[in-house]
Amino acid sequence: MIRLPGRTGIRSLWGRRLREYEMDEEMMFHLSRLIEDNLEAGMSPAEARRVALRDFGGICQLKEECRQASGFRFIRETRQDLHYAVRQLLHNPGFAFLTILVLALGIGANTASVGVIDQLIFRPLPVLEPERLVSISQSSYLDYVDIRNDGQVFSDVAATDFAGYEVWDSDHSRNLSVRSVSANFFDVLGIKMAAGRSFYPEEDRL
Amino acid sequence: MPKYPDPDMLQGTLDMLILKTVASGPIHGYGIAMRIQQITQDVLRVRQGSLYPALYRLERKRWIDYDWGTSENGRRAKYYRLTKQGRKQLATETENWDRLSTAVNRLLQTT
Repeated sequence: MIRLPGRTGIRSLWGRRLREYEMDEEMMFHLSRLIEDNLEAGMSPAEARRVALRDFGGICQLKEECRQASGFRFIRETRQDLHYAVRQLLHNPGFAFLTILVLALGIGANTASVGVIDQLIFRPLPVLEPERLVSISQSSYLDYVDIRNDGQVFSDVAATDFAGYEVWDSDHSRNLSVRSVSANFFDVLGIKMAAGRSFYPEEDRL
Repeated sequence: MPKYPDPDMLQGTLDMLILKTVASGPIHGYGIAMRIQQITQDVLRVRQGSLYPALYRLERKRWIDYDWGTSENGRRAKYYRLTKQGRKQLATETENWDRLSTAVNRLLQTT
């Protein structure tokens, strides 16, 4: 059974707007009574209004003080809503389980498909024609030479490997993580140098 | 405007005065200010600037609650009433006030 929120629920949903409205009406009522008093005392309507407004003081500031005085109510109402939600879910574990399952599946499916679309459409690899690029892992240098010289399957083949180097700088040594690439690496990926030049073909001969 | 003793002077006094006034039956903000002024024969005047924040504070503490009703002049007005907790609070505050004023009087009357 699903119970609709009762008076407290409705009151907190619409609470803030309702309270503002009630505050306005309450202050207007007070002001109108002050004006009536002044009229009874023999003032002209304009004067009665002016004096009443003067006596009443700054309405905006007063309203702000009232808001602050009742301030913690919002937090308490939010807490009540959470309590109510938890109670309802505990009251009805089957319904709770189904709701959570549906939400989890929905969110999961969406995240997965957005992730794929994001990679394919919104953030393709920053290379020329990424859809034609394939990666062959864990092959030796000789494999690489074979595949490149075969020339049947790929329009071009570049090689890359991770390597570590130790660099000496007067008396300090530092480990650098580098990537060694074949001379045609940047040409295969279609990456243009912002400055200077890439490697010449003869520069990667062993 | 002439100067009147401000019920805010003693912290909590205003709350007690409002609770006491509301205790005698549903009454709107304007009515509370008027009644305090009449009963204390103009000695205490509650300004709107203190009255309304106090009312909202007391409501937050659940010492008073309200309903909307029609006033003597046919307008819609917010009528405050005392809650069960409010009645308890008023009893506590009245007792504290009695003790305090008795003590102060005793001190002032020593020769």
